[in-house]
Amino acid sequence: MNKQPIDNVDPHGQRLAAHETFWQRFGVHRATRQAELPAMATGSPTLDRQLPGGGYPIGAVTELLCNNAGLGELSLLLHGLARRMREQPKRQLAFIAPPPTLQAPALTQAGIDCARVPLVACRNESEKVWCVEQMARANAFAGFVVWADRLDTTALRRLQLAAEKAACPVFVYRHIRAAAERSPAALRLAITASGGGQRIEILKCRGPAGARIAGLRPGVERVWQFETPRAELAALRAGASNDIPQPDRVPHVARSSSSPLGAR
Amino acid sequence: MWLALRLPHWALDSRADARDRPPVTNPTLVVAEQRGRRHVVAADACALEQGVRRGMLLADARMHVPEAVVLARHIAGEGAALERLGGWAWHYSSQVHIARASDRVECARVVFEIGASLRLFGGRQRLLERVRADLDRMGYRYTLGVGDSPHAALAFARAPSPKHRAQGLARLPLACLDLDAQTTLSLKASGLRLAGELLALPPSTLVRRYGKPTLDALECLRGRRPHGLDFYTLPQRYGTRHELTGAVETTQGLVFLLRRVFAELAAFLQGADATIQTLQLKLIHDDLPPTRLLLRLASPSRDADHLERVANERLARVTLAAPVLEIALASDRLRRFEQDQDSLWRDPDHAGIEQWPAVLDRLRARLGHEAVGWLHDVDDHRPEQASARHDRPATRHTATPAPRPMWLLDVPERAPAELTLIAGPERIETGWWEHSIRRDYFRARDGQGRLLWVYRDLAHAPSGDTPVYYMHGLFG
Repeated sequence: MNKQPIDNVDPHGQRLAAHETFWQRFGVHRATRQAELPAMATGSPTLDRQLPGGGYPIGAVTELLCNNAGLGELSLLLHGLARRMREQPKRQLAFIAPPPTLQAPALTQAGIDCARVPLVACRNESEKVWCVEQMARANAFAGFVVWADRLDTTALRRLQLAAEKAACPVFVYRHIRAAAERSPAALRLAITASGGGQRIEILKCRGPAGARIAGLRPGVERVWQFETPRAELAALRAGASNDIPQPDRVPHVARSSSSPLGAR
Repeated sequence: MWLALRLPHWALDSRADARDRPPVTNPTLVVAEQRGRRHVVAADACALEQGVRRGMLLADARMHVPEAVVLARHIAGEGAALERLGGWAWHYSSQVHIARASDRVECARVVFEIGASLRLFGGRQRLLERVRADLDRMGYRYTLGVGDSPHAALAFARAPSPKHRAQGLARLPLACLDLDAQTTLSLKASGLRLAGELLALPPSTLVRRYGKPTLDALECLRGRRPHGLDFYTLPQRYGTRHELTGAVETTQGLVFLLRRVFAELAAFLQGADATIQTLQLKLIHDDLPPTRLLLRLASPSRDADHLERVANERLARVTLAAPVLEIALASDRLRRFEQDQDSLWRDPDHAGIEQWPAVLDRLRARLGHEAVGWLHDVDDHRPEQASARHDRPATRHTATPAPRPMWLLDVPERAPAELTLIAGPERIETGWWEHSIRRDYFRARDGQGRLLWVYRDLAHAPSGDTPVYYMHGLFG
């Protein structure tokens, strides 16, 4: 009895949506709307809001440029990657040519299981790209992090192809000097420090670039002090105050799904 | 039901590169010395076309093919190759008999029981097709016979044409039976031509006229007596040598040969239902010590393509000091192959993860074994000892509650003067038995905006009011 009206509600619109989802699989989009970009959350809501798709692009190269170590550059990335690793418990995170001074306790504290992070030492830049290409074939990775200063456009393109093949993000750490060079990377972030705190500048992204996030502050407990998103805070508060649902809240929940009430 | 394979030109076919040689090369013969005279024991197709036959004297063979390359028989190499073939036959049966040519055995042979495996392989026709396909892939020349007993199968394998094989045991010529030359001659003189005529004779007459061994042979043929063949047992590890017909001077040539070598290894592993994890490849030179390549895999494997790829990556880094005459392989202990349970629905995620060990092997083959590593948390208070790098992932985890820097400096240096302390102090005081430290650690931010891990040395503190800070790490 209830079904009849639902079927009649805008059948044209439904069919259009079905068509769109069908064609989107082949990369065809309606010109009036932007295609949804696959992305992974960065862990910082402020940064997420600035980036197209709401995070680091998946299946593309992200360049992270910083002028010296110690700006919290890796912790910022691991903050987002830790969540992705939790969501994909079988996959690994590959570090290609990390500085040898990398410390296991820091990774553990960032929420990354060291046993799932193979480190590959390479002798030159072409070997690094080769490594990523080989590993992209295995499709066993949640992401790649590459430390490479002297990558040319060809190498970055190859990384981009590998990222597309593996359907996971590839992050490249380079010196800030590379900001002046052209790059085929989908996203370029510059991490700098100023007096008031760390600053992230979006040098290039799919869509309007040039946003800045200033005043990211180091926290007492962890490296970065991210603001907790409002929605999550509200949920936290609700969870803390009402472990058992209050009777006066139940009708609010029930209203949205009217059929069980009607059946009763 | 038994299947017999006779390998008449085994002395030549067993050499690793004999089957892949281009047809333009000279005819090749393998000879053995017997009572001071050299006989041909194996010849290649080219020489056979020119009229060379097995058993010919070398001098006679030279009349047919004067330009022939003559090789000496290498009995150990033949034995090793036959053992590999035994491992392959293990795939079809657990009762496998192998024998190489000797005084009592006229040519190399493999005999195995197939009656119990017929249903598994989908019937006799299918099984025979598979056996033939395998042998063609390995490139051996053979004759094949199937019979109710091992000796009957061998008799069918000796039959001169497929027509004889189709007609049954009774219609086989007497020459196909494994009787000694003297008896065969006297049987012929008596006017007997076919096996059926001999089998029809009453046993008492047979014994009286041709002796007990003849009767025994016929009873074995019928399957009424135990066949008396010893069975091949699977070795604990794969170890074999591949004899080459000529010296190989380039790694390119070796790559070509290794394809064959690894195809045989794969056939062996498939048959033995086993996997290997380490394989030592020894390239034997004439006068120099052998070149050794150790292939260590991330997980046990029996995939020949994978092993070959790893070997080729390793070979690309090797320069040959001298031409290679022989290839020896030695594996670690064979492990049982364990097939993972596949999920009913194909999980694309899982398929990719299964490939990771293979990719790891390729990375290590090219970059070196030590190039790929994992960090381990070590339960130690001293920051310098808290992290270690090993060649396999950690299985145990220890967590440090206090924040630790991402990058740790090898040698602490003087911290910049402009410091803002964020958190601390954390007292670290341990290791009195070797490298005693007593420090107060702080997290600080310097003028450039770097997040530092600095400490104040309490053990060697200079007397004074202003504390001296040392930078030990960076929060990257």
